[in-house]
Amino acid sequence: MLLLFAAPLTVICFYSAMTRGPYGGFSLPWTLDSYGRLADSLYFAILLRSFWIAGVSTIFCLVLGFPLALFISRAGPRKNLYLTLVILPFWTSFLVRTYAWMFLLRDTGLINTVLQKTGLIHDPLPLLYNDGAVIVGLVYGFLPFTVLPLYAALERLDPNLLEAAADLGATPWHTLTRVVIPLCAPGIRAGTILVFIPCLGAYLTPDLLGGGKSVMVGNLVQNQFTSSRDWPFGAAISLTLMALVMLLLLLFMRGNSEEGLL
Amino acid sequence: MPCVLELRDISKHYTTQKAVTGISLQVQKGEFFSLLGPSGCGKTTTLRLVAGFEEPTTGEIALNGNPIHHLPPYHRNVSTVFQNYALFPHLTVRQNVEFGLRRRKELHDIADRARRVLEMVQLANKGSRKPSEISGGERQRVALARSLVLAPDVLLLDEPLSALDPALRKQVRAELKSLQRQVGITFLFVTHDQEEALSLSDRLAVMNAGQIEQLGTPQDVYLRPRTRFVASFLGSVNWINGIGVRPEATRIVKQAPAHRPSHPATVEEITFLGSLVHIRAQLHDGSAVTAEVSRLNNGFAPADDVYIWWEPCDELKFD
Repeated sequence: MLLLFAAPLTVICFYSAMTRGPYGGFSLPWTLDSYGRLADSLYFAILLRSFWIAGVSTIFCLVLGFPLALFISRAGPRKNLYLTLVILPFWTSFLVRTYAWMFLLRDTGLINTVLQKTGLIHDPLPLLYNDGAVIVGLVYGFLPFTVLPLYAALERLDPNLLEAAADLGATPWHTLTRVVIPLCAPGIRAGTILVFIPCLGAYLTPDLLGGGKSVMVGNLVQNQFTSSRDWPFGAAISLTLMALVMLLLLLFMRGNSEEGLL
Repeated sequence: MPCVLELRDISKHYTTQKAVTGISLQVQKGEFFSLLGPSGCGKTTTLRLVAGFEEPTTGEIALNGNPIHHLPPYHRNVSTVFQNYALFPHLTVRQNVEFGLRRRKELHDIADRARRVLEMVQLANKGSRKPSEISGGERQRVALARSLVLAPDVLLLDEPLSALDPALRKQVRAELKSLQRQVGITFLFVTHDQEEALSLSDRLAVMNAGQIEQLGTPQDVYLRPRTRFVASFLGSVNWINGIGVRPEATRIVKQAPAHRPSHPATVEEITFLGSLVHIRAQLHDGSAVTAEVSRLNNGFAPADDVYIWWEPCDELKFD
Protein backbone atom coordinates (compact mmCIF):
# COMPACT_ATOMS: atom_id res chain seq x y z
CA MET A 1 0.00 0.00 0.00
CA LEU A 2 2.78 2.40 0.97
CA LEU A 3 4.64 1.36 -2.16
CA LEU A 4 1.68 2.03 -4.43
CA PHE A 5 1.21 5.45 -2.91
CA ALA A 6 4.74 6.57 -2.09
CA ALA A 7 6.43 5.45 -5.30
CA PRO A 8 4.37 7.53 -7.76
CA LEU A 9 4.44 10.44 -5.35
CA THR A 10 8.21 10.36 -5.21
CA VAL A 11 8.43 10.25 -8.98
CA ILE A 12 6.17 13.30 -9.25
CA CYS A 13 8.28 15.13 -6.70
CA PHE A 14 11.36 14.54 -8.79
CA TYR A 15 9.65 15.64 -12.01
CA SER A 16 8.49 18.87 -10.42
CA ALA A 17 12.04 19.94 -9.76
CA MET A 18 13.27 19.33 -13.28
CA THR A 19 13.23 21.22 -16.54
CA ARG A 20 11.17 20.61 -19.63
CA GLY A 21 13.08 18.56 -22.18
CA PRO A 22 13.65 19.87 -25.76
CA TYR A 23 11.00 17.52 -27.17
CA GLY A 24 8.83 17.45 -24.07
CA GLY A 25 9.11 15.14 -21.09
CA PHE A 26 11.71 16.04 -18.57
CA SER A 27 15.45 16.50 -18.24
CA LEU A 28 18.09 17.95 -15.96
CA PRO A 29 19.12 20.50 -14.65
CA TRP A 30 17.27 20.60 -11.32
CA THR A 31 15.29 23.77 -10.87
CA LEU A 32 12.32 25.09 -8.98
CA ASP A 33 11.20 27.35 -11.84
CA SER A 34 8.00 25.37 -12.34
CA TYR A 35 6.76 26.38 -8.92
CA GLY A 36 7.55 30.00 -9.62
CA ARG A 37 5.40 29.97 -12.74
CA LEU A 38 2.37 29.15 -10.67
CA ALA A 39 2.40 32.63 -9.26
CA ASP A 40 1.65 33.95 -12.74
CA SER A 41 -1.77 35.62 -12.72
CA LEU A 42 -3.08 33.34 -15.47
CA TYR A 43 -2.39 30.17 -13.60
CA PHE A 44 -3.39 31.70 -10.31
CA ALA A 45 -6.77 32.61 -11.81
CA ILE A 46 -7.25 28.99 -12.86
CA LEU A 47 -6.48 27.84 -9.33
CA LEU A 48 -8.94 30.35 -7.95
CA ARG A 49 -11.67 29.36 -10.37
CA SER A 50 -11.15 25.72 -9.44
CA PHE A 51 -11.66 26.47 -5.75
CA TRP A 52 -14.67 28.62 -6.60
CA ILE A 53 -16.34 25.98 -8.76
CA ALA A 54 -15.54 23.17 -6.34
CA GLY A 55 -16.83 25.26 -3.43
CA VAL A 56 -20.09 26.22 -5.11
CA SER A 57 -20.65 22.65 -6.26
CA THR A 58 -20.11 21.39 -2.73
CA ILE A 59 -22.59 23.87 -1.32
CA PHE A 60 -25.21 22.92 -3.91
CA CYS A 61 -24.61 19.26 -3.21
CA LEU A 62 -25.23 19.84 0.49
CA VAL A 63 -28.25 22.09 0.00
CA LEU A 64 -29.87 19.70 -2.47
CA GLY A 65 -28.66 16.54 -0.78
CA PHE A 66 -30.07 17.32 2.65
CA PRO A 67 -33.78 17.50 1.74
CA LEU A 68 -33.32 14.38 -0.35
CA ALA A 69 -31.64 12.51 2.51
CA LEU A 70 -34.41 13.73 4.84
CA PHE A 71 -37.08 12.53 2.44
CA ILE A 72 -35.49 9.10 2.13
CA SER A 73 -35.04 8.68 5.88
CA ARG A 74 -38.77 9.31 6.36
CA ALA A 75 -39.87 7.12 3.48
CA GLY A 76 -40.61 4.03 5.55
CA PRO A 77 -40.64 0.82 3.54
CA ARG A 78 -39.55 2.54 0.31
CA LYS A 79 -36.20 3.62 1.75
CA ASN A 80 -34.18 0.94 0.02
CA LEU A 81 -35.81 1.67 -3.29
CA TYR A 82 -34.90 5.33 -3.09
CA LEU A 83 -31.36 4.60 -2.00
CA THR A 84 -30.95 2.28 -4.97
CA LEU A 85 -32.22 5.01 -7.27
CA VAL A 86 -29.64 7.43 -5.87
CA ILE A 87 -26.80 4.97 -6.46
CA LEU A 88 -28.07 3.71 -9.82
CA PRO A 89 -26.36 6.38 -11.98
CA PHE A 90 -23.00 5.03 -10.81
CA TRP A 91 -23.73 1.91 -12.81
CA THR A 92 -23.54 3.95 -16.00
CA SER A 93 -20.47 5.58 -17.47
CA PHE A 94 -19.62 9.02 -16.12
CA LEU A 95 -18.54 10.06 -19.60
CA VAL A 96 -21.87 9.07 -21.10
CA ARG A 97 -23.75 10.94 -18.38
CA THR A 98 -21.67 14.05 -18.99
CA TYR A 99 -22.38 13.86 -22.70
CA ALA A 100 -26.05 13.58 -21.81
CA TRP A 101 -25.80 16.95 -20.09
CA MET A 102 -24.26 18.44 -23.23
CA PHE A 103 -27.24 17.15 -25.13
CA LEU A 104 -29.57 18.84 -22.66
CA LEU A 105 -27.79 22.15 -22.33
CA ARG A 106 -26.50 23.07 -25.76
CA ASP A 107 -28.13 25.68 -28.01
CA THR A 108 -29.93 23.04 -30.05
CA GLY A 109 -30.35 20.84 -27.00
CA LEU A 110 -33.51 19.59 -25.31
CA ILE A 111 -33.99 22.44 -22.86
CA ASN A 112 -33.57 25.23 -25.38
CA THR A 113 -35.71 23.45 -27.96
CA VAL A 114 -38.58 23.02 -25.52
CA LEU A 115 -38.35 26.63 -24.32
CA GLN A 116 -38.28 27.95 -27.86
CA LYS A 117 -41.07 25.72 -29.14
CA THR A 118 -43.35 26.78 -26.29
CA GLY A 119 -42.56 30.38 -27.08
CA LEU A 120 -41.04 31.20 -23.69
CA ILE A 121 -37.81 32.40 -25.25
CA HIS A 122 -36.78 33.58 -28.71
CA ASP A 123 -33.06 32.96 -28.89
CA PRO A 124 -31.42 29.98 -27.26
CA LEU A 125 -30.00 30.48 -23.75
CA PRO A 126 -26.23 29.99 -23.40
CA LEU A 127 -26.48 27.08 -21.02
CA LEU A 128 -23.35 25.25 -22.13
CA TYR A 129 -19.64 26.05 -22.22
CA ASN A 130 -19.47 28.18 -19.08
CA ASP A 131 -18.78 27.86 -15.34
CA GLY A 132 -22.47 27.27 -14.65
CA ALA A 133 -22.60 24.21 -16.89
CA VAL A 134 -19.54 22.79 -15.16
CA ILE A 135 -21.18 23.28 -11.77
CA VAL A 136 -24.36 21.59 -12.98
CA GLY A 137 -22.35 18.62 -14.22
CA LEU A 138 -20.34 18.34 -11.02
CA VAL A 139 -23.35 18.67 -8.74
CA TYR A 140 -25.20 16.03 -10.72
CA GLY A 141 -22.27 13.67 -10.58
CA PHE A 142 -21.42 14.13 -6.91
CA LEU A 143 -24.85 14.51 -5.31
CA PRO A 144 -24.90 10.91 -4.06
CA PHE A 145 -21.74 11.67 -2.10
CA THR A 146 -23.67 14.04 0.14
CA VAL A 147 -26.97 12.16 0.13
CA LEU A 148 -25.48 8.96 1.52
CA PRO A 149 -23.47 10.37 4.46
CA LEU A 150 -26.33 12.71 5.36
CA TYR A 151 -28.79 9.82 5.21
CA ALA A 152 -26.51 7.78 7.47
CA ALA A 153 -26.31 10.66 9.95
CA LEU A 154 -30.09 11.11 9.91
CA GLU A 155 -30.68 7.41 10.49
CA ARG A 156 -28.51 7.56 13.60
CA LEU A 157 -30.65 10.34 15.02
CA ASP A 158 -32.76 9.28 17.99
CA PRO A 159 -36.41 10.06 17.09
CA ASN A 160 -37.06 10.84 20.75
CA LEU A 161 -34.83 13.90 20.34
CA LEU A 162 -37.19 15.32 17.75
CA GLU A 163 -40.15 14.73 20.05
CA ALA A 164 -38.25 16.23 22.98
CA ALA A 165 -37.51 19.37 20.97
CA ALA A 166 -41.16 19.76 19.99
CA ASP A 167 -42.21 19.05 23.57
CA LEU A 168 -39.97 21.87 24.77
CA GLY A 169 -41.53 24.37 22.40
CA ALA A 170 -39.50 24.04 19.19
CA THR A 171 -41.46 24.44 15.95
CA PRO A 172 -40.48 22.03 13.16
CA TRP A 173 -38.16 24.69 11.73
CA HIS A 174 -36.46 25.18 15.11
CA THR A 175 -36.07 21.45 15.50
CA LEU A 176 -34.46 21.28 12.07
CA THR A 177 -32.00 24.10 12.64
CA ARG A 178 -31.19 23.59 16.33
CA VAL A 179 -31.25 19.82 16.65
CA VAL A 180 -31.24 17.94 13.34
CA ILE A 181 -28.62 19.89 11.43
CA PRO A 182 -26.13 20.22 14.32
CA LEU A 183 -26.43 16.50 14.96
CA CYS A 184 -25.81 15.80 11.27
CA ALA A 185 -22.47 17.61 11.44
CA PRO A 186 -20.43 14.41 10.93
CA GLY A 187 -22.44 13.65 7.80
CA ILE A 188 -22.07 17.20 6.54
CA ARG A 189 -18.33 17.03 7.12
CA ALA A 190 -18.02 13.70 5.32
CA GLY A 191 -20.11 14.94 2.41
CA THR A 192 -18.08 18.12 2.09
CA ILE A 193 -14.78 16.27 1.89
CA LEU A 194 -16.15 13.65 -0.48
CA VAL A 195 -17.37 16.31 -2.91
CA PHE A 196 -14.92 19.19 -2.61
CA ILE A 197 -11.70 17.29 -3.17
CA PRO A 198 -12.72 15.37 -6.31
CA CYS A 199 -14.33 18.51 -7.71
CA LEU A 200 -11.07 20.38 -7.31
CA GLY A 201 -9.28 17.82 -9.41
CA ALA A 202 -12.04 17.45 -12.01
CA TYR A 203 -10.99 17.61 -15.63
CA LEU A 204 -13.54 15.63 -17.60
CA THR A 205 -16.51 17.76 -16.62
CA PRO A 206 -14.87 21.15 -17.20
CA ASP A 207 -13.44 19.85 -20.46
CA LEU A 208 -16.74 18.70 -21.91
CA LEU A 209 -19.21 21.08 -20.30
CA GLY A 210 -16.95 24.10 -20.05
CA GLY A 211 -15.49 23.90 -23.52
CA GLY A 212 -12.23 25.81 -23.52
CA LYS A 213 -13.83 28.58 -21.51
CA SER A 214 -13.83 27.11 -18.07
CA VAL A 215 -10.40 25.78 -17.42
CA MET A 216 -9.83 24.18 -14.06
CA VAL A 217 -6.67 22.93 -12.43
CA GLY A 218 -7.35 19.39 -13.59
CA ASN A 219 -7.42 20.51 -17.22
CA LEU A 220 -4.20 22.44 -16.70
CA VAL A 221 -2.38 19.42 -15.34
CA GLN A 222 -3.83 17.23 -18.08
CA ASN A 223 -2.55 19.65 -20.71
CA GLN A 224 0.96 19.63 -19.31
CA PHE A 225 1.15 15.88 -19.59
CA THR A 226 -0.34 15.74 -23.06
CA SER A 227 -0.21 18.59 -25.56
CA SER A 228 2.14 20.97 -23.77
CA ARG A 229 4.44 18.14 -22.81
CA ASP A 230 5.79 20.04 -19.86
CA TRP A 231 5.91 17.33 -17.26
CA PRO A 232 7.81 19.29 -14.61
CA PHE A 233 5.19 22.03 -14.68
CA GLY A 234 2.35 19.48 -14.49
CA ALA A 235 4.04 17.81 -11.56
CA ALA A 236 4.57 21.11 -9.80
CA ILE A 237 0.90 22.06 -10.16
CA SER A 238 -0.21 18.66 -8.86
CA LEU A 239 1.98 18.84 -5.81
CA THR A 240 0.91 22.39 -5.01
CA LEU A 241 -2.73 21.41 -5.26
CA MET A 242 -2.14 18.41 -3.05
CA ALA A 243 -0.38 20.56 -0.45
CA LEU A 244 -3.24 23.08 -0.43
CA VAL A 245 -5.87 20.37 -0.04
CA MET A 246 -3.99 18.74 2.81
CA LEU A 247 -3.72 22.09 4.55
CA LEU A 248 -7.47 22.62 4.21
CA LEU A 249 -8.18 19.12 5.48
CA LEU A 250 -6.00 19.69 8.50
CA LEU A 251 -7.80 22.91 9.38
CA PHE A 252 -11.16 21.28 8.76
CA MET A 253 -10.37 18.32 10.97
CA ARG A 254 -8.79 20.40 13.69
CA GLY A 255 -12.03 22.22 14.25
CA ASN A 256 -13.79 18.95 14.92
CA SER A 257 -11.18 16.94 16.77
CA GLU A 258 -13.43 15.77 19.58
CA GLU A 259 -15.91 14.10 17.31
CA GLY A 260 -13.27 12.15 15.44
CA LEU A 261 -12.96 11.55 11.73
CA LEU A 262 -16.25 11.59 9.88
CA MET B 1 -59.34 21.40 43.92
CA PRO B 2 -59.62 22.49 40.33
CA CYS B 3 -59.14 19.97 37.56
CA VAL B 4 -56.03 20.78 35.55
CA LEU B 5 -56.16 17.93 33.01
CA GLU B 6 -59.20 16.16 31.68
CA LEU B 7 -59.49 13.34 29.16
CA ARG B 8 -63.00 12.76 27.85
CA ASP B 9 -63.66 9.44 26.15
CA ILE B 10 -60.27 9.34 24.43
CA SER B 11 -59.61 6.62 21.86
CA LYS B 12 -56.64 5.97 19.66
CA HIS B 13 -57.18 3.35 17.01
CA TYR B 14 -54.58 2.38 14.46
CA THR B 15 -55.46 0.35 11.38
CA THR B 16 -53.91 -2.75 12.94
CA GLN B 17 -54.88 -2.32 16.58
CA LYS B 18 -56.90 -0.36 19.11
CA ALA B 19 -54.34 1.17 21.41
CA VAL B 20 -56.76 2.86 23.83
CA THR B 21 -60.54 3.06 24.00
CA GLY B 22 -62.87 5.17 26.06
CA ILE B 23 -60.29 6.71 28.39
CA SER B 24 -61.82 9.31 30.70
CA LEU B 25 -60.10 10.79 33.72
CA GLN B 26 -59.57 14.04 35.60
CA VAL B 27 -56.32 15.02 37.22
CA GLN B 28 -56.48 17.59 40.00
CA LYS B 29 -54.02 20.42 40.30
CA GLY B 30 -50.94 19.44 42.31
CA GLU B 31 -51.82 15.74 42.19
CA PHE B 32 -49.38 12.88 41.62
CA PHE B 33 -51.43 10.73 39.24
CA SER B 34 -50.18 7.44 37.84
CA LEU B 35 -51.14 5.25 34.92
CA LEU B 36 -50.32 1.69 35.90
CA GLY B 37 -50.50 -1.43 33.78
CA PRO B 38 -48.60 -4.17 31.95
CA SER B 39 -46.75 -3.62 28.65
CA GLY B 40 -49.12 -2.88 25.83
CA CYS B 41 -51.98 -1.71 28.04
CA GLY B 42 -52.03 1.73 26.45
CA LYS B 43 -50.58 3.79 29.27
CA THR B 44 -47.73 5.22 27.20
CA THR B 45 -50.10 5.89 24.30
CA THR B 46 -52.31 7.86 26.69
CA LEU B 47 -49.32 9.88 27.85
CA ARG B 48 -48.27 10.59 24.27
CA LEU B 49 -51.79 11.74 23.46
CA VAL B 50 -51.62 14.26 26.30
CA ALA B 51 -48.14 15.38 25.19
CA GLY B 52 -49.29 15.85 21.61
CA PHE B 53 -47.11 13.28 19.86
CA GLU B 54 -50.25 11.48 18.71
CA GLU B 55 -53.69 12.79 17.86
CA PRO B 56 -56.73 11.02 19.34
CA THR B 57 -59.08 9.19 17.01
CA THR B 58 -62.01 10.38 19.11
CA GLY B 59 -62.43 12.26 22.36
CA GLU B 60 -61.15 15.48 23.87
CA ILE B 61 -58.27 16.56 26.04
CA ALA B 62 -58.55 19.76 28.04
CA LEU B 63 -55.89 21.60 29.98
CA ASN B 64 -57.33 23.99 32.56
CA GLY B 65 -60.58 23.81 30.69
CA ASN B 66 -59.10 24.64 27.27
CA PRO B 67 -59.13 21.96 24.59
CA ILE B 68 -55.63 21.01 23.47
CA HIS B 69 -56.08 17.77 21.54
CA HIS B 70 -55.66 19.50 18.20
CA LEU B 71 -52.61 21.48 19.23
CA PRO B 72 -49.06 20.41 18.30
CA PRO B 73 -46.71 19.59 21.22
CA TYR B 74 -44.94 22.93 21.05
CA HIS B 75 -48.17 24.78 21.77
CA ARG B 76 -49.17 22.77 24.81
CA ASN B 77 -48.07 23.78 28.27
CA VAL B 78 -47.11 20.26 29.26
CA SER B 79 -43.62 18.80 29.28
CA THR B 80 -42.39 15.23 28.98
CA VAL B 81 -39.58 13.38 30.74
CA PHE B 82 -38.73 10.52 28.38
CA GLN B 83 -37.80 7.01 29.41
CA ASN B 84 -34.38 7.36 27.81
CA TYR B 85 -34.21 11.05 28.83
CA ALA B 86 -33.66 12.26 25.22
CA LEU B 87 -31.05 14.82 26.23
CA PHE B 88 -29.53 16.72 23.30
CA PRO B 89 -26.05 15.19 22.98
CA HIS B 90 -24.54 18.20 21.25
CA LEU B 91 -25.51 20.60 24.07
CA THR B 92 -24.18 20.93 27.61
CA VAL B 93 -26.34 20.25 30.65
CA ARG B 94 -27.05 23.96 31.05
CA GLN B 95 -27.84 24.40 27.36
CA ASN B 96 -30.22 21.45 27.53
CA VAL B 97 -32.03 23.05 30.45
CA GLU B 98 -32.16 26.43 28.71
CA PHE B 99 -33.45 24.94 25.43
CA GLY B 100 -37.15 25.43 26.09
CA LEU B 101 -36.68 28.93 27.46
CA ARG B 102 -34.74 29.97 24.39
CA ARG B 103 -37.41 28.58 22.08
CA ARG B 104 -39.92 30.73 23.93
CA LYS B 105 -37.60 33.69 23.68
CA GLU B 106 -37.76 34.16 27.46
CA LEU B 107 -34.21 35.34 27.63
CA HIS B 108 -34.31 37.95 30.34
CA ASP B 109 -33.09 35.91 33.28
CA ILE B 110 -32.49 32.62 31.56
CA ALA B 111 -29.17 31.91 33.27
CA ASP B 112 -30.67 32.52 36.68
CA ARG B 113 -33.69 30.29 36.16
CA ALA B 114 -31.52 27.51 34.75
CA ARG B 115 -29.16 27.74 37.70
CA ARG B 116 -32.00 27.61 40.22
CA VAL B 117 -33.61 24.54 38.75
CA LEU B 118 -30.24 22.80 38.47
CA GLU B 119 -29.68 23.53 42.15
CA MET B 120 -33.07 22.01 42.89
CA VAL B 121 -31.96 18.73 41.33
CA GLN B 122 -28.47 19.04 42.81
CA LEU B 123 -26.60 19.39 39.56
CA ALA B 124 -25.51 23.00 39.84
CA ASN B 125 -21.83 22.13 39.45
CA LYS B 126 -22.29 20.00 36.32
CA GLY B 127 -23.71 22.69 34.09
CA SER B 128 -20.93 22.65 31.52
CA ARG B 129 -20.74 18.88 31.14
CA LYS B 130 -22.14 17.08 28.14
CA PRO B 131 -24.76 14.33 28.64
CA SER B 132 -22.21 11.69 27.72
CA GLU B 133 -20.04 12.80 30.62
CA ILE B 134 -22.57 12.28 33.42
CA SER B 135 -24.18 9.20 34.96
CA GLY B 136 -27.61 7.74 34.18
CA GLY B 137 -29.13 9.09 37.38
CA GLU B 138 -27.73 12.54 36.68
CA ARG B 139 -29.10 12.44 33.15
CA GLN B 140 -32.52 11.75 34.53
CA ARG B 141 -32.25 14.80 36.76
CA VAL B 142 -31.22 16.94 33.81
CA ALA B 143 -34.27 15.71 31.90
CA LEU B 144 -36.41 16.65 34.91
CA ALA B 145 -34.79 20.05 35.23
CA ARG B 146 -35.20 20.73 31.53
CA SER B 147 -38.94 20.20 31.79
CA LEU B 148 -39.48 21.78 35.23
CA VAL B 149 -37.82 25.07 34.28
CA LEU B 150 -40.70 25.69 31.87
CA ALA B 151 -43.24 25.48 34.73
CA PRO B 152 -45.66 23.28 32.76
CA ASP B 153 -49.24 22.78 33.91
CA VAL B 154 -48.61 19.03 33.93
CA LEU B 155 -45.32 17.14 33.95
CA LEU B 156 -45.54 13.88 32.00
CA LEU B 157 -43.16 11.12 33.06
CA ASP B 158 -42.78 8.00 30.92
CA GLU B 159 -41.40 5.23 33.17
CA PRO B 160 -38.55 7.49 34.29
CA LEU B 161 -37.22 5.02 36.85
CA SER B 162 -37.06 1.89 34.70
CA ALA B 163 -33.72 2.79 33.11
CA LEU B 164 -32.07 3.09 36.53
CA ASP B 165 -30.48 0.18 38.32
CA PRO B 166 -32.64 -1.20 41.16
CA ALA B 167 -30.40 0.11 43.93
CA LEU B 168 -30.83 3.66 42.68
CA ARG B 169 -34.51 3.32 41.97
CA LYS B 170 -35.80 3.46 45.54
CA GLN B 171 -33.71 6.49 46.35
CA VAL B 172 -34.71 8.37 43.22
CA ARG B 173 -38.32 7.44 43.85
CA ALA B 174 -38.23 9.19 47.21
CA GLU B 175 -36.48 12.22 45.71
CA LEU B 176 -39.07 12.44 42.98
CA LYS B 177 -41.92 12.39 45.46
CA SER B 178 -40.44 15.10 47.64
CA LEU B 179 -39.60 17.18 44.58
CA GLN B 180 -43.17 16.99 43.42
CA ARG B 181 -44.43 18.07 46.84
CA GLN B 182 -41.91 20.89 46.95
CA VAL B 183 -42.59 22.27 43.49
CA GLY B 184 -46.33 21.56 43.54
CA ILE B 185 -46.55 20.74 39.82
CA THR B 186 -49.10 18.15 38.72
CA PHE B 187 -47.41 14.87 37.72
CA LEU B 188 -48.81 12.32 35.27
CA PHE B 189 -46.64 9.25 35.82
CA VAL B 190 -46.57 6.09 33.70
CA THR B 191 -45.22 2.84 35.14
CA HIS B 192 -45.64 -0.93 35.05
CA ASP B 193 -44.26 -1.29 38.59
CA GLN B 194 -47.12 -1.51 41.08
CA GLU B 195 -44.89 -0.78 44.05
CA GLU B 196 -43.81 2.49 42.43
CA ALA B 197 -47.37 3.44 41.61
CA LEU B 198 -48.68 2.62 45.08
CA SER B 199 -45.92 4.46 46.93
CA LEU B 200 -45.84 7.60 44.78
CA SER B 201 -49.39 8.31 43.71
CA ASP B 202 -52.18 10.33 45.20
CA ARG B 203 -54.44 8.49 42.78
CA LEU B 204 -53.87 6.01 40.01
CA ALA B 205 -55.61 4.43 37.04
CA VAL B 206 -55.03 0.72 36.43
CA MET B 207 -55.09 0.01 32.70
CA ASN B 208 -55.43 -3.18 30.74
CA ALA B 209 -55.82 -3.79 27.01
CA GLY B 210 -56.40 -0.15 26.23
CA GLN B 211 -58.97 0.58 28.91
CA ILE B 212 -59.06 1.83 32.49
CA GLU B 213 -60.16 -1.01 34.77
CA GLN B 214 -60.16 1.03 37.95
CA LEU B 215 -59.31 4.53 39.08
CA GLY B 216 -58.78 5.51 42.71
CA THR B 217 -56.38 6.05 45.58
CA PRO B 218 -53.72 3.39 46.22
CA GLN B 219 -55.77 2.10 49.16
CA ASP B 220 -58.93 1.90 47.05
CA VAL B 221 -57.26 0.02 44.29
CA TYR B 222 -55.35 -2.38 46.52
CA LEU B 223 -57.95 -3.15 49.20
CA ARG B 224 -61.08 -2.94 47.04
CA PRO B 225 -60.11 -4.04 43.52
CA ARG B 226 -63.08 -4.07 41.19
CA THR B 227 -61.86 -6.76 38.82
CA ARG B 228 -59.72 -9.88 39.10
CA PHE B 229 -57.15 -8.24 36.84
CA VAL B 230 -56.70 -5.27 39.16
CA ALA B 231 -56.55 -7.57 42.17
CA SER B 232 -53.78 -9.74 40.74
CA PHE B 233 -51.84 -6.88 39.16
CA LEU B 234 -51.58 -4.85 42.33
CA GLY B 235 -50.40 -7.76 44.44
CA SER B 236 -50.84 -11.48 44.94
CA VAL B 237 -54.21 -13.10 45.56
CA ASN B 238 -55.17 -16.47 47.02
CA TRP B 239 -58.27 -17.93 45.43
CA ILE B 240 -60.19 -20.20 47.79
CA ASN B 241 -63.50 -21.49 46.48
CA GLY B 242 -63.92 -18.42 44.33
CA ILE B 243 -63.12 -15.99 47.14
CA GLY B 244 -59.97 -13.86 46.86
CA VAL B 245 -57.81 -13.15 49.90
CA ARG B 246 -54.44 -11.43 49.93
CA PRO B 247 -51.47 -13.34 51.42
CA GLU B 248 -50.93 -10.85 54.23
CA ALA B 249 -54.59 -11.30 55.21
CA THR B 250 -54.40 -15.10 55.03
CA ARG B 251 -53.98 -16.25 58.64
CA ILE B 252 -52.17 -19.48 59.32
CA VAL B 253 -52.33 -21.20 62.73
CA LYS B 254 -51.42 -24.58 64.20
CA GLN B 255 -54.75 -25.15 65.99
CA ALA B 256 -58.23 -24.64 64.60
CA PRO B 257 -59.50 -21.25 65.75
CA ALA B 258 -62.61 -21.29 67.87
CA HIS B 259 -65.82 -19.55 66.66
CA ARG B 260 -64.59 -19.13 63.06
CA PRO B 261 -64.68 -21.20 59.91
CA SER B 262 -61.25 -22.39 58.84
CA HIS B 263 -59.68 -24.68 56.28
CA PRO B 264 -57.25 -27.45 57.24
CA ALA B 265 -54.07 -27.56 55.20
CA THR B 266 -50.53 -28.93 55.08
CA VAL B 267 -47.42 -26.77 54.80
CA GLU B 268 -45.57 -27.47 51.56
CA GLU B 269 -42.83 -24.92 51.38
CA ILE B 270 -41.49 -21.97 53.33
CA THR B 271 -39.74 -19.18 51.45
CA PHE B 272 -37.53 -16.76 53.36
CA LEU B 273 -37.67 -13.23 51.97
CA GLY B 274 -35.80 -11.35 54.64
CA SER B 275 -38.31 -9.44 56.76
CA LEU B 276 -41.18 -11.58 55.50
CA VAL B 277 -41.79 -15.29 55.12
CA HIS B 278 -44.07 -16.86 52.52
CA ILE B 279 -45.68 -20.09 53.63
CA ARG B 280 -47.26 -22.16 50.87
CA ALA B 281 -49.81 -24.61 52.15
CA GLN B 282 -52.03 -27.07 50.33
CA LEU B 283 -55.67 -27.28 51.21
CA HIS B 284 -57.44 -30.64 51.29
CA ASP B 285 -59.12 -29.95 47.95
CA GLY B 286 -55.73 -29.68 46.30
CA SER B 287 -55.50 -25.91 45.83
CA ALA B 288 -52.56 -24.02 47.27
CA VAL B 289 -52.53 -20.77 49.22
CA THR B 290 -49.67 -18.55 50.24
CA ALA B 291 -49.73 -16.86 53.62
CA GLU B 292 -47.41 -13.98 54.31
CA VAL B 293 -46.13 -13.60 57.86
CA SER B 294 -43.43 -11.56 59.49
CA ARG B 295 -40.33 -13.67 60.04
CA LEU B 296 -40.76 -13.04 63.75
CA ASN B 297 -44.03 -15.00 63.70
CA ASN B 298 -42.78 -17.93 61.71
CA GLY B 299 -42.92 -21.11 63.77
CA PHE B 300 -43.79 -23.37 60.86
CA ALA B 301 -42.02 -26.14 59.02
CA PRO B 302 -42.85 -28.17 55.93
CA ALA B 303 -45.39 -30.99 56.47
CA ASP B 304 -46.92 -29.19 59.45
CA ASP B 305 -50.69 -29.48 59.78
CA VAL B 306 -52.20 -26.01 59.88
CA TYR B 307 -55.49 -24.14 59.62
CA ILE B 308 -56.15 -21.26 57.24
CA TRP B 309 -58.66 -18.53 58.07
CA TRP B 310 -59.29 -14.85 57.27
CA GLU B 311 -61.40 -11.92 58.31
CA PRO B 312 -64.53 -11.47 56.14
CA CYS B 313 -63.65 -7.82 55.59
CA ASP B 314 -60.45 -8.91 53.85
CA GLU B 315 -62.37 -10.79 51.18
CA LEU B 316 -62.03 -9.29 47.70
CA LYS B 317 -65.38 -8.89 45.99
CA PHE B 318 -65.77 -8.08 42.33
CA ASP B 319 -68.51 -6.49 40.29
